Amino acid sequence: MRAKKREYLLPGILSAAVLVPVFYMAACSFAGDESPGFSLMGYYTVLFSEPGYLLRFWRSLAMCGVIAAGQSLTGCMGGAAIAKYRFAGSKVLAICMAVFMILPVQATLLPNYIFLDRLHLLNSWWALILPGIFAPFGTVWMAFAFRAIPGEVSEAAEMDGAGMLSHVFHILIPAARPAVITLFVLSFVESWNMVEQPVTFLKGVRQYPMSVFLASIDIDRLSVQAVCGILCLAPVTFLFFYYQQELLDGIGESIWS
Amino acid sequence: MSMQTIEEKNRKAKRRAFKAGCAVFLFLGVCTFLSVWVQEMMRNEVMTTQGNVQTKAGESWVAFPASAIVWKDGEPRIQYVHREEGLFEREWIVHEKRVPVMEEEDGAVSVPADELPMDSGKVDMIYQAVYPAEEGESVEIIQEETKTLSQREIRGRYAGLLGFLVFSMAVLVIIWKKLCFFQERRWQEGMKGVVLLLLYLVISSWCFERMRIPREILPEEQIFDVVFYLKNLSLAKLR
Amino acid sequence: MKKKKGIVLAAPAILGFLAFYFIPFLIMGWYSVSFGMGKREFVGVQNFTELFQNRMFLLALKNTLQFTGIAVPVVLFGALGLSICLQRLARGGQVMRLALFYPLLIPIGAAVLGVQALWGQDGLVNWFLARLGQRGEDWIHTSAAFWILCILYWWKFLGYHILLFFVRIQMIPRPYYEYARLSGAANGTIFRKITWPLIFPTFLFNLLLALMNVFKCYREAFLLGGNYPDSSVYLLQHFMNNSFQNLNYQKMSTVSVSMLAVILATALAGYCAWKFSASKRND
Repeated sequence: MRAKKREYLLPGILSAAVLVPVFYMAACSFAGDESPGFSLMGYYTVLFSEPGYLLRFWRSLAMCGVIAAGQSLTGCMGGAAIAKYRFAGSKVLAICMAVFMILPVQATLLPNYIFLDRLHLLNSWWALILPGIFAPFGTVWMAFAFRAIPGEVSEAAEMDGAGMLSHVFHILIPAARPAVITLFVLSFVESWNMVEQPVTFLKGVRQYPMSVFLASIDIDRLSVQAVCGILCLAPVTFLFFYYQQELLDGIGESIWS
Repeated sequence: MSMQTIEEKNRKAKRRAFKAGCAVFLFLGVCTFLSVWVQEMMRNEVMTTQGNVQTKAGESWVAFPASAIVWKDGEPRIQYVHREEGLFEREWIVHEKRVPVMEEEDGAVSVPADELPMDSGKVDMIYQAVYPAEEGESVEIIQEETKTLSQREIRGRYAGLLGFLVFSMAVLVIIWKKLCFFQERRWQEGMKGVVLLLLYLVISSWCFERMRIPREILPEEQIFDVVFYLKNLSLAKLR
Repeated sequence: MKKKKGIVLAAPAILGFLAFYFIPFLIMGWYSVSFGMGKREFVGVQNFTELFQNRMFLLALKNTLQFTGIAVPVVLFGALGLSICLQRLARGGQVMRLALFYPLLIPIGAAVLGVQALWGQDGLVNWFLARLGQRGEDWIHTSAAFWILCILYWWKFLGYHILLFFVRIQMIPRPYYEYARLSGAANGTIFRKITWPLIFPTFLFNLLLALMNVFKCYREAFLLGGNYPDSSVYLLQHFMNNSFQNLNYQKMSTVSVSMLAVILATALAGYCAWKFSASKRND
């Protein structure tokens, strides 16, 4: 029994230490603005009194959902094509995309700015959505995942006369379900935490999504900032707990091929 | 058998996560809806005037009721409203400006016309407000004084608010239970939840539209100020 | 037939990649070898030589290399060590693994708030120092910012790497270890002969991810320190961002192309190492 308790010590300390900012934020959300002490005014302001915060939250949520779904879709299609339908140049393409995955956003920020300006998309959230949907990470990730699926499955489908799209959607994706879900969650988190693109492509604090807006709230409205921070945690935490099994499987399995 | 328990555990964990998530997001959604109404109800009500233009010794002065002047740090200030872009529509935003005033014989005050921030020759000045107006606040302009409600009417309004709160909480629990069926892929039950939610939103909107609650009987800072309600009720009894 | 259909399937991904990533980068490449406002002229490597004599660029380069050189090995070897220590956990291991993974998902704003709460002017660290009778300062804007950023990196990504190593180590069949112990091998030998060779490809993959994540730390550095932070955390991306703000497209594109070259070189090295270890494993 003693040995068991001691084994919990290290992971317990690790887990608590790692979650310190969350606890701190929770504590801040109860701080009073004018008079120090316990106060629920932060929660009241964000949840009941000024609809602006919650509306921005829902809009950001929708935008990130679109980006995540779009990236998963293009990733599945592109990854399936690279892994299963080895067309001319697919290897080169895969390596190209993998290299671009590592490159930071700044490398392509400028030309994107000019391109989006030409398309008149600069001051709308489409400037954030479109590059997000076509990010190479999705294709590379799914190519890795689909490579692990044995070829016999695809050949059987081919013989049954299944069309390309139905092959992808009805056979490949269910077989690689943890990897697809992991991709969805990771790209959601990536877009939920977007900072450089909104600051460059959008004008003015009013247009910012929740991720950057959080940092621009006045420092003397600390409780409001903390409540918004907790609000930002909610979707990510939900996805995390709902898909925990798939995440652990997807990250564990999909890279061993 | 141990494989089965892992499957079971996963399914239970998913169900719990969905229930919690559904509750949180349903709560947030309803809060969004309610906060639009709360913001409208808690909007300060003001009466404005454009004053009377007079010419004195070749200069134009504008005369106002004395209540239009607000004294801050011993300096006279006027508060005026300006139409600006709000969240859904154009709102009236309060601005302040320090101006020199001169008292008139009939108790009014007048201000030199060039000191006033005129917009196409007019400025809407606040001379009466339910609660002291603050700079940057969004206000609603009313034309005439709302009649003071009788004690019975006030109690009726409060009962209405309280009833709505209780009704909301009960309905939301039912809606939550129905929506949770989506996780078990029982689409019909889940859709019942969606329909109930839409009904709730429509009915609530209608209730808020009809229940015209004057700003005076609502607390100054936040709508959940129970102390204020109790005080107002006991005051109403005295009247 | 199969090959032709593949292109159609990959069309959206390819078109999007070309439009928003590849072609923009080629344009950057053109900018990096040309000069002039309006009409650009080809100038060869002149931009590059100018860049490598630029004081700010060299500072940014030094800082980035220093940061990578310190943060990445610590996180990788620390994660490896911790994942071995935590192997013995069965129950509660799930909760712990989730907790370690969580910092990766926490929104940037929360992490920034946390850092300010610890090391800011009115932060926890200063409170401790005050009790010890020392005066504290706003550590985020001093040269301690470098270590703060390192700690932030470790906090965020340690759990991620622990998870990746943990799963891979668990996939090593138990009988290997039992056989080694029966043969009387010590722990160190077990690690060197059994664990390490099997983990090496995973280690390389983690190295790749760790390098990718170094670039992600820029966001926190930017939100904490602004455009011109303390000179110890002035990273390559700060340089690029400022060049962008100053409309100095030459510098920005030159840095991008250099970065790509370095990444390509590193990827090539990693690929060779992987091939080498694979051939060794097959022996």
